Amino acid sequence: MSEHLSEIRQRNNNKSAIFFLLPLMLIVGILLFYSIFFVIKNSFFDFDLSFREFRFVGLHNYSRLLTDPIFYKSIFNNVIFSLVIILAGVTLGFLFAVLLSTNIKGNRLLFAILFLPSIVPRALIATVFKEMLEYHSGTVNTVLSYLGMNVQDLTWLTDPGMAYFSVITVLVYMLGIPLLYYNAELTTIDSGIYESAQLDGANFITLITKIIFPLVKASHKTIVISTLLAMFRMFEVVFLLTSGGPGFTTEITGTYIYRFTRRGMDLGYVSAAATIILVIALCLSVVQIKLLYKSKKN
Amino acid sequence: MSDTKILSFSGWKKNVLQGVMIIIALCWLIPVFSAVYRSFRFMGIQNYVYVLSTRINGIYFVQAILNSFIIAAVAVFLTVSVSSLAGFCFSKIDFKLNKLFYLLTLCLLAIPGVTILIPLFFTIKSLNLMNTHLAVALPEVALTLPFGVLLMRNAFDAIDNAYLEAATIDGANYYQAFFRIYLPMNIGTTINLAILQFIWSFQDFLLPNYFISKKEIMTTTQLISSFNRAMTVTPKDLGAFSASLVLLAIPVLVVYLIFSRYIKSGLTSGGLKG
Repeated sequence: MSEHLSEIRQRNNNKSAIFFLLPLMLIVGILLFYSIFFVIKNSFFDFDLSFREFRFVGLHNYSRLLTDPIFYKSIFNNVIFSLVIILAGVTLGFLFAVLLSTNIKGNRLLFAILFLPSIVPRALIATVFKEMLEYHSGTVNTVLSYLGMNVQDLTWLTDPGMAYFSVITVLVYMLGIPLLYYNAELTTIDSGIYESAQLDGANFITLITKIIFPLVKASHKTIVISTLLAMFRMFEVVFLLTSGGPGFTTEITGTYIYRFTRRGMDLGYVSAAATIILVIALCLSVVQIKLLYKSKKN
Repeated sequence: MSDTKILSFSGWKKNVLQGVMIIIALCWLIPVFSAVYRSFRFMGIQNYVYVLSTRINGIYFVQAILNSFIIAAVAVFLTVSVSSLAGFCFSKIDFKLNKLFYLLTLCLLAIPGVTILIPLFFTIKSLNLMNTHLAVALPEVALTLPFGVLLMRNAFDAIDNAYLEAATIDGANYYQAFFRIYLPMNIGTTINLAILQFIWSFQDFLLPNYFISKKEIMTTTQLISSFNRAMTVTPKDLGAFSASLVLLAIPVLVVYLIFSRYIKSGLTSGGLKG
């Protein structure tokens, strides 16, 4: 192709690209990029929800934020809860997917039972669990005391340690998405591999851990990526179950920021917290992008 | 759910496995049993009649479900169309800044909605959209778009460039190639993205809770939390509360029954493997 022709083509391409990208640029530009700019800029100001008066305070918001131990705690919990979700996904989710791909009866129904909790509203799951774990009339304590157990000390949502455990239980309960990914990928693998492995005398555990587990690498990766994304949308589980309590033990960044946002004032402080979380989120994205590009090369 | 059996067992091994899976499933059903049991307490089926026929916190239950559906439908339509267009562009059109724009979009992959609530509030208010379905749907779309674009670009990458070359030789431009060839060929991933966005939107609690205060356009997740807050002690309310929780799971069940096949086919069509 001559240079002139390719130049015309390039210009044409630029024009077409604008058409294809305009909707994206509008929505993402106004709602995301502008928002990020807004948050960063106003983290140096003091303002409230009327947006009338912006008072410059320099780094004051940051110095307050970075001396608040609860802020660190909330980030720590975010990391822990993310790890729990990923861990539950690649162990239990994977195991269930394998077990459901055997010749047992009713595996469609069993799959649905394990998968559905992940797609019903999380607010619903959190609320049902809250009802179950309620100290006085909750199902769990009712059943346990019926069985003759002393439930005096079983304050599932108000004891710090137990509340933490309760949140984790709910997170593990929602392992449907990893289950789905594994389930989908398992069927794409040539079943001859399993047969020859079985013939070679590999036992069930070796077969699962040494042969099947490495084969579903794509799913592992997808689960890590989608969990990191979904993690930040997990706000409602903690918010509706424990509201970050008791005494901020189960606080995550979502509940931390939301509490201040709801107050409608001191929004510069919220913006500073949001800025730091956004920076972490950006780093996560960069890691994800790197992973994606690496897997593409292989 | 596929019918392919990757492993086969017989005899006692199969029975043990069957037993284990049933026990696991029963564990997963405990919350369901609990919710259903509680929904029939005190007034039995009357709890359901009460929920369906009375306004709760100023809104009919069915109306809240309808609101959630409207928001989800808008979000799905916008997410799918914008992601398809952009994904195609990043995958097939060689233009200046292609890579830069794509990477900029991907950088937004992990943005937590809660961090940008205040500027979103500011923008939504300036656009005069407070207390509308769009006030919730638009931010939902924006927050899913980076993921949607990634998904779509990977999907279009998997479709051969030869179709585009053939189409351009026949005199078709990018628009025609996109609408006539690539979009129809990419239906699997499109459905996948649509379902994911539907589920996310239907689950969303944060944005409705912040942008909707008018009773008439309240969503289901808001209804739950308003219940949660106003947790009263009369048996009537408690029963109705539990009944509404059970009812709220039904739309998702229906969607699953209709689309379970598509959820899987969309996934295996290659989108998320990137």
